[in-house]
Amino acid sequence: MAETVIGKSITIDGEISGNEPVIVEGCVKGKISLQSSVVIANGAVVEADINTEEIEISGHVTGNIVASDRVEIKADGKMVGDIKSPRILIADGAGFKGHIDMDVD
Amino acid sequence: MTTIGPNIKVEGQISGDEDLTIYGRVDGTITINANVIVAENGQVHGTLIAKEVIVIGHVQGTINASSLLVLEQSARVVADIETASLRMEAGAQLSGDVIMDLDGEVPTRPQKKSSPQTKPAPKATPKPAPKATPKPEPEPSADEDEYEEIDDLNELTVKELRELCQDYDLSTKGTKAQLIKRLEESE
Repeated sequence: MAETVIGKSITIDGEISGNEPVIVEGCVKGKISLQSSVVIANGAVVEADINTEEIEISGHVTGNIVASDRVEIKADGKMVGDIKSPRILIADGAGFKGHIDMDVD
Repeated sequence: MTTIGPNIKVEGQISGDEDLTIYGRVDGTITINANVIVAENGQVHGTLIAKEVIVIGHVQGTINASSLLVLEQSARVVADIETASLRMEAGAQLSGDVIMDLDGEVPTRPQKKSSPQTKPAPKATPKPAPKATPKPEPEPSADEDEYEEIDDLNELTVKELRELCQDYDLSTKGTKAQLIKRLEESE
């Protein structure tokens, strides 16, 4: 019933944690730590370290991402920071600057 | 419309100008230029500033609702509240100070503050009072003073004692000791 959405005009300065999906349309500064999925929507600005299972980026992210399952940067997405995840998708047109670690043995 | 889900915890500051519904937990400061709903099982620990606030869950800290605060039946609030209007359902629990802006129509507050200032004035008056009282004691002849002390009655003459007894509607017969005893008992 209650999916977590951080709306366009909302700014969160601090830490978001939990185990259900989060959609960010606004601004988050600090840290996101979820045992679930994160969607950074188009227009969102995130300056945070993100630790999650799955993340989809259509907005701007500055920070390091650790995803246990998958990272996807969509065509509108811009990402500055390091990514550590076993599966990484970067769409045509997406912006990315940073280091990728897919933990290949 | 922003929602904090039931399994989400936010620590820090949330600000913005759109409606916010909290099913989960927020520790910190919420400053929203719109309405905030703390839903059932939702928890806010800290400061909550918004236009209209509806509490169904728990709030601990401070609530500042510029237009309206509603505490629903299951609300559990331990907070200092400042609001223009408050609605509380039966069953809601509230502990804390409530301040409502009443446009200066409350005269009681200024009076309470001024009362400690008037106290120093009575403190000054008791000093002259003891000085005044010793003076009548060596003058037992004055009719007004004689009733008080037993010693005074012994100092009076039988005639004066009889006059006293008349004043008290007592019998004027008997010895001086009997008159004094009667006067003492009448007192």
